[in-house]
Amino acid sequence: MQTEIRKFDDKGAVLIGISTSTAGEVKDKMLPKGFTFPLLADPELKVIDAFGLRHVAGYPTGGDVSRPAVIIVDEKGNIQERLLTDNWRVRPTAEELLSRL
Amino acid sequence: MKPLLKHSFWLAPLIAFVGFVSYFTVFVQFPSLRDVPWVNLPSVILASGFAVWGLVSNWSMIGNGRRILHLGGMLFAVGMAGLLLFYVFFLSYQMPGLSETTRQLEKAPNFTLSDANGEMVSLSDFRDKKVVLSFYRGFW
Repeated sequence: MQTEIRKFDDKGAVLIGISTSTAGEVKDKMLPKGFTFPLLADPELKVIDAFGLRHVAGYPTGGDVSRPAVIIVDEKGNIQERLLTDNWRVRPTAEELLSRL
Repeated sequence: MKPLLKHSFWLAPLIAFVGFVSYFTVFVQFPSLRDVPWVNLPSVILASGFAVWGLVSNWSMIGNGRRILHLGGMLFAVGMAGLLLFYVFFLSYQMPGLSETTRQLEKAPNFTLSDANGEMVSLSDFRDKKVVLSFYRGFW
């Protein structure tokens, strides 16, 4: 995803990641991997719940996480696309996302 | 006896172990090899076959001590293959059904969250742009 970030820019789109990790955890574990797009911390699952994406006890250790999902929001704030999965191991590729922008 | 088969009792479980662990440490980073484990599933299955073949072809020529080694190695290799198959074909499908909220949402609710550097980011910061919100489970 990171390597394709420029193509999102070219399409006038912004990529944002959201997970239950705290800002500190993101800083320690994700930033060293070279992510430059914003990775937002939602440890209380407020936004995850607002989008209805909570996966109760979805983490191997029993905590709640977000189910993997990509929501594309258009310029007016309407939801244009939802890319959802019934298999949390598999997520849409950057190419798939770009083709829908 | 083929020389390689003599070593199947340690070689097969080693291949199976590497085949299992490398999925999570290496291959998940490549979408095409993550979605279908083209490298890892064949390695653990071939390793299991190699272990069984080694066990069967050595059995009548070796003593009890070696038999236990071969049997242990075979069980380990088959176990690794079983775990990976279980993870890929069963565990990763264990998800709740889609919520009504997700299905019916038409307008994206605005939100403000902190990024890794403690800066607040709102959806409304990006008016007039498309925003791709990628929800993900954690660090993997």
